[in-house]
Amino acid sequence: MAVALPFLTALGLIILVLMNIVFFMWAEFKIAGRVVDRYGPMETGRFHGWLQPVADIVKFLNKEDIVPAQADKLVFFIAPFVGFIPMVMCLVVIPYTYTLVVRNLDIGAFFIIALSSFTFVSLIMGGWASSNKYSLLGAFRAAGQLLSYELPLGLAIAGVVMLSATLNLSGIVANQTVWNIVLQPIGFLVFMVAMQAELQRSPFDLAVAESELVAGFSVEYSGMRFALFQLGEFFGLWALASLAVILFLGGWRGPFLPGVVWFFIKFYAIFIFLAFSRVSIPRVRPDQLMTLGWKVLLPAGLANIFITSILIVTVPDYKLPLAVCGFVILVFSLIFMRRALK
Amino acid sequence: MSGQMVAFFIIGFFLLSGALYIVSTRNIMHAVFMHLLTMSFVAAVYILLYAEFIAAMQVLIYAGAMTTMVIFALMLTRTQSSPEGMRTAVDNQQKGLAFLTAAGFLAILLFVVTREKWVPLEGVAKSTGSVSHMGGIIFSAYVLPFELISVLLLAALVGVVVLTRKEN
Amino acid sequence: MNAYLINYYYVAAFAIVGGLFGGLLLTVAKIFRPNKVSREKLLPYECGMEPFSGGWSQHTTRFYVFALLFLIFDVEIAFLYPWATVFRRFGVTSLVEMFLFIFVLLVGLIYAWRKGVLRWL
Repeated sequence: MAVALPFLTALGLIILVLMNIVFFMWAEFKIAGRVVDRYGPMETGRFHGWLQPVADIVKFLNKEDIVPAQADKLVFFIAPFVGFIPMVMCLVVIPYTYTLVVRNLDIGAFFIIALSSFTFVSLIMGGWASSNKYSLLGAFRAAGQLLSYELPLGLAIAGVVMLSATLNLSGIVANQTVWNIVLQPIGFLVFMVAMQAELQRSPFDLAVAESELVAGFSVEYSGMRFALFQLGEFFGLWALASLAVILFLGGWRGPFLPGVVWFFIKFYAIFIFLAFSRVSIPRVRPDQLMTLGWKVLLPAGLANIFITSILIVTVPDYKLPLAVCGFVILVFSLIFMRRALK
Repeated sequence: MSGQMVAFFIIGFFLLSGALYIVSTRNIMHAVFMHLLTMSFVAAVYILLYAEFIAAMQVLIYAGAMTTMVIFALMLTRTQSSPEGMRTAVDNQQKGLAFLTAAGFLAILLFVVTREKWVPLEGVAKSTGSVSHMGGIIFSAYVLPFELISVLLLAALVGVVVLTRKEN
Repeated sequence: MNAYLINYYYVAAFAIVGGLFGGLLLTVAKIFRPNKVSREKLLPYECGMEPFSGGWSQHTTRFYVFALLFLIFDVEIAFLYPWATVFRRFGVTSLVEMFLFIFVLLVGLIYAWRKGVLRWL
């Protein structure tokens, strides 16, 4: 039994996340509809179209699997898995309460960052194996976008690690008597922007929404293979949103309700923020994307590291000066971001 | 034969066959993608050695960044209408000499490894692989190599900027 | 087996289950879907435009430079994590060491910026 327990836990967690997909996708459709004064799905399942995501999954099952004649069959088959499997592995370290964690790895935060570096190669494999010049170019551009935003993500997390002196995710939550979003406001901003760019969600979904590149790297993928790419992206969303809650919003800490409930309240709050951001902000141009990543977020992340480290070492009671300086630099970063997006 | 040894032999088998595939395949892009897998198995070996931080660093830098960089660098060398060009083989006239050199390196490595006195891992390595221990020794005993790394990286960066600007 | 090895046994188990689950999804889809082969479906999707004619190498140098920049700063971030866990112990000394490291790489970034390498993708 002890040998099989990890496998059963893995299966259970995957099914839990899949059940959440149904709710998330429905919520996203409804929010996207209501923001533009429409209803969203209303038909499938009678009550406000709650079965719409299930209908989408059934649609994916029914599509014919067309593999291009010149495609490299082996790499074509493996590419979605290279994106999917590392994201499933990320589920091991996420703590939902102090005791509700699969395994408490000592390198928790760094583990998730390291695993998300597999997505670069997964995109390029998919684009190359399709034997299609346009999907290859789309894959390269998407990989370039992912590379550019992995760095600010790492810097934002490093800022939080400096506050809690450990990479262990349970330790980081246990250390947050005041939420880290107060002490690291720029870190939070950088993390949220970089998270949306890493997940290729709007406003950063250049690779899959450009009219001349159609669906980018996955244009030749149909049916369930395409759905596997999307599933990998969704598990990545789960991992990064959980990371945002744990690192910046105090994880499971909260006054009256049990820890798990607080965790999921904050988790869904982050997700609703992402859904709103998707429908409110127009898609960025490629040069705006690169400018934002390299010339605004990377210096902002480095400035955060400088300020945080100087204040922690020199001032014994660093919390208030840190919050004030962080807020000042946050305002400057927002001004620079506005200029970069012109 | 403990579980650790079994895992080591399995990982070692996949690692060696992956590396063998990289040097013997005729398709460059397959070699690059197998490079990704091989680096991940090297990270698994690090984990078996209780060095979890170095394993994560291996995955992040080698399996992630290095593979994409090799792919982009391969594109630079194929200036004719490219995606089909990347499927063709690279064949080398000097296979015999390369084999002899590799065999020589292997001999040196085996010589060094068998003369060394190895300590059992259980007592020593459990705490030395952790992140805080690594940080402790990097910033006290090994500061100079650490600073030299930054100079090396700067040299690489400046070199690439200069080279690519000349071609414009 | 101590707790450390059990941790990574769990990680390996999750990887295996992830792979098997993906395979399961694809197998289930294979049962349900139609399979009508036709010649047009197997051609690559090109929207009827001309193929690439030169100008390829100018694009590729840009990607390579970004990949190298990413690699360099990735190494920096990888070194930032152990420093972040121990810098309180060593006081101002470790601050100076790390700032020197970051400063050298920042000089490289500013050089690339000024030389116009970071311009659009």
